[in-house]
Amino acid sequence: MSLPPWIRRLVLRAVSPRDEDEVLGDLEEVYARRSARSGPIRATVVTGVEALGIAGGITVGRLRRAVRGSLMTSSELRLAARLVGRTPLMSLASVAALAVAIGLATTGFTVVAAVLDRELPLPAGDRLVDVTFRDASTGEDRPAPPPATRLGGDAVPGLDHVGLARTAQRNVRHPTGEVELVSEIFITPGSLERLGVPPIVGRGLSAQDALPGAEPVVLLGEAWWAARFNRDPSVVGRILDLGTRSARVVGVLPQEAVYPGPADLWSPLDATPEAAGAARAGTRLFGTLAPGATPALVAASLGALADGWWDAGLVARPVTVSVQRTEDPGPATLPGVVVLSVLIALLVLVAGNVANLIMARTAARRGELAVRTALGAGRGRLVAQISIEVLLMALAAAGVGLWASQRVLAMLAASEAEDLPPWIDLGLDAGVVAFVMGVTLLATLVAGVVPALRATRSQLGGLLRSGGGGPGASSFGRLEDTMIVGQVALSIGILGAALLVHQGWSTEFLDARLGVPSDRILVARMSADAPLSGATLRGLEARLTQLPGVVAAGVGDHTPGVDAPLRQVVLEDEAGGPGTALRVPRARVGPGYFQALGTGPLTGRTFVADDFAADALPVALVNRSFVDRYLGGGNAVGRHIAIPDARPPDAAPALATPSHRIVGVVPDLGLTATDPERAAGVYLPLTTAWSFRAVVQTATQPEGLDEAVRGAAFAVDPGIGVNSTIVLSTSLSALRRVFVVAGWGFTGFGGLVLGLSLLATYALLAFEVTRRTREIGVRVALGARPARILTALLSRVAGYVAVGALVGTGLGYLLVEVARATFVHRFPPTSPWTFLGLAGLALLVGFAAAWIPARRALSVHPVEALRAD
Amino acid sequence: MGGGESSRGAGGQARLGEFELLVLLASLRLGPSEAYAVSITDDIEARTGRRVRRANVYTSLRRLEEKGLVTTGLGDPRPERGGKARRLVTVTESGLAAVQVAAAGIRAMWGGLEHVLGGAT
Repeated sequence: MSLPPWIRRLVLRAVSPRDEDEVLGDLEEVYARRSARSGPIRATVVTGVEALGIAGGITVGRLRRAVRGSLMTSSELRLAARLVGRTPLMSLASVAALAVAIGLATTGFTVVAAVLDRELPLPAGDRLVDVTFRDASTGEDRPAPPPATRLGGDAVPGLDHVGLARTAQRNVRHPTGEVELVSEIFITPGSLERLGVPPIVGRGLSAQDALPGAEPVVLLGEAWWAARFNRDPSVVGRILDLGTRSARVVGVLPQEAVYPGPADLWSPLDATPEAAGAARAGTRLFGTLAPGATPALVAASLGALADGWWDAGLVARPVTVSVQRTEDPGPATLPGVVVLSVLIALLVLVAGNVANLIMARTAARRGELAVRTALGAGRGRLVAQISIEVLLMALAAAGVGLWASQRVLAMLAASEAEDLPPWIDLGLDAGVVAFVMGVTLLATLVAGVVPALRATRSQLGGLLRSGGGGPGASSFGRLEDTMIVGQVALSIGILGAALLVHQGWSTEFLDARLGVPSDRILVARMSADAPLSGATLRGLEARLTQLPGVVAAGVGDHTPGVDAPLRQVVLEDEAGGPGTALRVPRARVGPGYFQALGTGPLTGRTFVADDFAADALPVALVNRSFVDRYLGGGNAVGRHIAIPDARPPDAAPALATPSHRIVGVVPDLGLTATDPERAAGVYLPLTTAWSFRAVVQTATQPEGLDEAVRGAAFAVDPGIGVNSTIVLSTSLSALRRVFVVAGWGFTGFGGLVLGLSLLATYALLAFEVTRRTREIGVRVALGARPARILTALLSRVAGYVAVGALVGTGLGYLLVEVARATFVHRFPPTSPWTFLGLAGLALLVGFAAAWIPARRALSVHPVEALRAD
Repeated sequence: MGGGESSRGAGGQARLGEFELLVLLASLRLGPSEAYAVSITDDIEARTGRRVRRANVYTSLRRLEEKGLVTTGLGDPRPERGGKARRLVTVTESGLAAVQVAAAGIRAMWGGLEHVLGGAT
């Protein structure tokens, strides 16, 4: 009988061609013999098992030969694994510390690499540039000025295509009556073709589609086409009700259409002067570089054009131009590199702590190492064996760290899915794996090879003769001492700053009630595709007020509790002097805004309908903090403030700055989130708006009012899209949560560093006790009291903490000042007691870390100590 | 697996592991025309009464060949082996010397223990 094919295949996979005949032939022979003796079934089973053994044996033999040729042998690996398991607590602490560090570094690397290495999935992605216009005097970003919107395809040297794009939100009313808010991008028709994004169904946009009077057409984005229309190609030709207009679907764009962003609808941008003039707000300019051109060349060309516009009076204010490749991460580069560098430095710090632990453990094995040396093991062999132990722990840590990093990044990607650019990929790729392997090797080098070299540099043979280490300076050295002191200082500094930041962000100012019924106020963010008139906005207020359960409604461009942007105002001098220039938060509101917030004027009045008339005299309101700070608490009604940027953007430069009469004082209503310095602010009438908020106060809980609000907005103007709704109390809680989370993040980091210093202290003292076991035993035998021995050990800890606290206090003060300057928040005065308290905590932590080795020192029996090496 | 590594003894002669010695002895008995993995396995099992895994025989033969104690070569194809040849084993001079050293050592240690072990060989 012939050998079963599966046995033949099994063997052929394992044996080399040289051995095929031999092994298969032997199996054939014994199988035939067994079949004749015991039958084919038993023969198959027995021979199959035998074949498995042969294949396995051959494979293991190959592995052994390969391993024998490398630095490691199987016995070394087993020994390393045994030694790691012999000190489980120390090994676990090392793996945990390395896992955290590797996980943090990997997370940081993945994010930074994704941000810095962006690559648009477009054929022309590498030539795409974004053009930014800025006010020459204030540096603030400005929309593309009117002359820029009329630039033709080759009007700019260095660009072979100039395009315009604008994003919007659009209400789509489906045949079922459902109103859906979708994203829309208006774009110059030739740009999609230039970007290399052909439609997957139907046709793209043509120049004729953008001409005045042309039939309105639209392209669908692939994702929305799939979700809403089940990828039905017959959607081409269908008419969509887009609220203010209807448009015919002419095609579908692929998901690669990601510039200037993914969108559900793509419409031709009417770039005629009239439409462009009206539509310029939010319109961005972009282009594709001509061969050989650079962003600098294009910026120079556009800058010269902009100067000409100013000279010709075509723009209200001079602008500067910057041009940047879309794929260029630009200002994100330096912060990204800094963040990654900090994380890698943290990894090195953690590995350094693990190195101290390894040193301490190796010190306890000096006798064993000496014996191995005497038996012929070279220094390289010993170093390799110690390094293998650390490599095993580092590999375990890398696995855990990589897993944790991927979980965190998955949560981040899910939570930020709508805001992340589509080309940002936070998934696992070859680069991340290579980074993980690299940091694992780095950790092994720092935590394994370096301490192994140091531990084996002395004459281990002499150790056998001398009987071990004696009293004297620790061979840990200045480096380790500096590391421990540094970590104590860092932990005290960071924790101290974190506590103060916590306190600053938790001041009564943030927690102070706005004095409004925030749990019964719904805030709806709205936008329109054309500026809404004051009449429309007041009509919206009226319509919202009529909804069932609504007490009052108003509109404004500010959500209470969010920092309003600072704007320039000039408080006019009543005596006719030059006035006082101020930068204060400023909001524009409708007549119903304050009533919707459940409040009214403290003095004077709030805005009334007459204030919004075209010929109305300019008026303003100020809040209580403004009166206290800038008017000394005096009467504000009747004073005047000038608003320099309240002129229309295209107004002639000679037009005088309007002077607004203050007609009332209102309470502080959250023009700033946390900083009392920014509380003093000004309110102006909201006469026109693209984007604004509707504030709706209800008699009961406002949840469930969303649909009614959408319906009311659509009824007033189908072009009004409701982007989101939130109850005001939830908004305030969410804001506070951001600060609290950030504060805890600092605290957690400081705690991590404190934990590392605990590890380092434990390692040092464990090493000390091991080295000085004989000395301690002799001293105890001679009558030394345990308290003295304990004092000697713990005094070292106290020394580290004292120096670390001094340095850490200085560091903490510095960090708080940086935070104060960066976030413009008022933190309480830095208290030295905070740092003293933390120094006490660090001392307790240090003593706790010293407890185990100290207890071991006290339990040393003199007889055993004298026998110790 | 295997019968232990050989090492060099005094005079540079290879020291044999226990299993390697059995493999060499079986090879010598069977001769260069009949000694191959299957027959070596059968011989050891028959004489010692212990279960032998042929994988271990293969490993030992590789090791012995690497140390120059045996040479191997393919014989003629055999029908009972599906037309495949046997890899026949020939003990070299070095291998024979190693066996003699091992045997001498065993005899030397055996001496004087007849009354305990029940008859010398």
